[in-house]
Amino acid sequence: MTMPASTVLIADDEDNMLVSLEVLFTRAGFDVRLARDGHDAFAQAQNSVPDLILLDVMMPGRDGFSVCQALRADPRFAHTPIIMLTAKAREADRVKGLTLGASDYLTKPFSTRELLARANALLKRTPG
Amino acid sequence: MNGLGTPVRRSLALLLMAAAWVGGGLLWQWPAGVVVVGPMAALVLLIGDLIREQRRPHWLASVEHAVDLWSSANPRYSLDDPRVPVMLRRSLEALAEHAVQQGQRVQARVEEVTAPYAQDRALLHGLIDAREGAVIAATLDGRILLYNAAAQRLFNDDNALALGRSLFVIFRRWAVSHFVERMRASGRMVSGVLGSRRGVLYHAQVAPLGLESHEGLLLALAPLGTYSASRRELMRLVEPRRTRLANLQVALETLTDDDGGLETRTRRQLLTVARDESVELARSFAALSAHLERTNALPLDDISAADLLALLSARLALPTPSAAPEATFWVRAEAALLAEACIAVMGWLQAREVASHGLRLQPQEGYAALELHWQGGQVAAEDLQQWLRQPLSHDPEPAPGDAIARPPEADAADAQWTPEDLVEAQGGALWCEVHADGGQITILLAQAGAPEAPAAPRAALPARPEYFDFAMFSRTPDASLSAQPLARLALTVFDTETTGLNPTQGDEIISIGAIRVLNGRLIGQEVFETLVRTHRPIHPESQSIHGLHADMLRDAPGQAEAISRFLRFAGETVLLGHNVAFDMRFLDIAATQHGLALPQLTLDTLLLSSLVYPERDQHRLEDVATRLGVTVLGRHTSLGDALLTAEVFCRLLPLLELKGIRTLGEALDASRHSWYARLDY
Repeated sequence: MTMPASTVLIADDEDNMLVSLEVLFTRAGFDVRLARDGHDAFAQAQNSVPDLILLDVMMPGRDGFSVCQALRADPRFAHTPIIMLTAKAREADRVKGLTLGASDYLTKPFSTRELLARANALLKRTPG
Repeated sequence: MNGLGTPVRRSLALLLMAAAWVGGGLLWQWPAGVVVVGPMAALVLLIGDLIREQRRPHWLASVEHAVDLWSSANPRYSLDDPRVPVMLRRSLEALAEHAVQQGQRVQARVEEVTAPYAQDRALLHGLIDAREGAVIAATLDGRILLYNAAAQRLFNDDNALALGRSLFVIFRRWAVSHFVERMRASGRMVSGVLGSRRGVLYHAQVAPLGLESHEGLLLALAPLGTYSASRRELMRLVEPRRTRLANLQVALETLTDDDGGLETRTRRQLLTVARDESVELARSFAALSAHLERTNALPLDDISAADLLALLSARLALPTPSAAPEATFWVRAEAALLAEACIAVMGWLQAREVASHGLRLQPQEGYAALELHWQGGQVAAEDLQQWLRQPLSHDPEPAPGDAIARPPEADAADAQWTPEDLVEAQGGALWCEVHADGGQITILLAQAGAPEAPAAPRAALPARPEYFDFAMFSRTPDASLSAQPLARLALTVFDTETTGLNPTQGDEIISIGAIRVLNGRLIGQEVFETLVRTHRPIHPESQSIHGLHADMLRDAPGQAEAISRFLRFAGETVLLGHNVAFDMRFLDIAATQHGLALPQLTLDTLLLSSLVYPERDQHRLEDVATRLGVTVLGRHTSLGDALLTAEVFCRLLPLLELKGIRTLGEALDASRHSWYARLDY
């Protein structure tokens, strides 16, 4: 019996980004779920804990920093890899993201190969 | 008077002293010294007359000099010649003390009367100096009347900016005239671009300046370079990318418009183009955002973490944390604005009934994390996050008498800042963490390097030997300069440090310091200081005096450059030094080697001092300074010694006048004679 596919929750308010990331992660063998804002992302994660979460920072309603912080406060998400994808490229924002519990921080634009490599590296490190 | 007996002499003297006291008490004149010391001088003369016929005692010269000093330079001078009869000494000192008190009373009254003007002056100076841009005030014929610190920084290299000198040294006359004509035609401020003689472009604003004596202009300058450099850099990053974007767009549109007619090979080619161009675009955007990150939206200051914490604690009425941050921990921030933001945050928290709150400041990931933490209260994380992104519209501290809400200030919409904006504009980040029993707001700020500690002052050491230059006296000024009063001269007071004492054997100058004296007053902002590179070893004895060693000189300008810069600074002024022949011998030799022309006229405080105190044989700079009541500080750096020399010169002026030496010509003549006198001695 083969291993079940890893699930990834991708949250971004840009449809164009979601379209590409869905193709990218599906082709890489992931089971992909999509969210279009912060509240939606948080609710979906609560429903069923994914193996990996990609969070855009600037989303209407609730931003990625806030979702990340709330998830980390829940013991079920203590070890879930969270990658922040953001247009906020400043060094200070990176420190903020990592302090609030992000596992990794990628600034837009990014290379799709680098994103997949980092995602796989994080999944290998995750216990269980 | 030969026949007068001792009792007569004594009673005459007492009578005069009494008259002096009464006179001093009644008259309100300035300088007060004249009031009391005038009769005192008469007293001394009388005593002199009384005893001249018998035998002029040796101590009389000491008394005469003490009176000169009391009346003009140093009222606190102590007459310590033991040969002077005790009673006379005490009486004279009591008189001098009385003069001091009288002087202080007059001074206090003068200050009282002039205080409002002094305040206006300080305010004006403060305003002009606080301006970030350069400001120069000048007469219409170009004489510089005033300039601020920024102007000095801007034209520092030229050493061209100096009170009383011509604005047209920096700018061409016709270029300034162009502005002046427009200003006169319109009767108000005009602006435009003004180029300096060095070819630097400035954004200039020229306003008319109404002076009592003459018309003037006020010139505000900002280098166009700083305006445009940032923009130029942005354009450099943006423009070439248009080509990349065009390539990408054409490739992608060709692909999407394809109705199946494209060959596989062509499709792949177009896709490769699209990928390469997007990679290139991504790379250029990284450069663009790095450029933006370097450009903070707010001007920032470096402040020590301890000071910042103390300032914020005071503004928030919190006790200063007992564990002070390390002295090397510095922060780059807009402290006052940060305090405003913290007060607003604390106000918001207190409205939610938090039980207690406090401040922490600690290093984090190369940044400084300022943490406002609290316990208790009903704080909802989402409310707080939302509030941190709303404009700080509520003024936590209403203006006095401001019962009703003020209308928004002009352009307020653009100027509304959220707490998050305030922090991000300082290159930082802001977030909050809320728990069941409290929480904290973290403000991430950039760290700054601690400034280097100032070097410890060095111990005083014996001064260099006296040197004289015979040729110095063969130079004579032209008649008009010769007739100039010393008190109206423009002087460059300077000093040098050297590798050793023998320029003829190759010793060289390794540092030059200078300050301007104009109208008998030190011009503190017109200073010159440079180290000078040398290939000569520094003599250990010289090194122990000035403390300069080869390492410190490695990056300094060479002899020719340093000396010609000094000469540019000196311009057409008269050079003055203490034991100036020593420095001039070095300058002469270097100037000959490098084909530079030295100014012809020099004055020497050592010689001037020997004119005032012919009976003293100690004329080292410290001795003269102490005698004149000048505090001796910072010796044995060339600038420190130049400063001291300048102060000594200003104190010598009234004493020289008492000796009948008022003009440059008279000073040079007397110096010459004094030099011969010393030679005889």
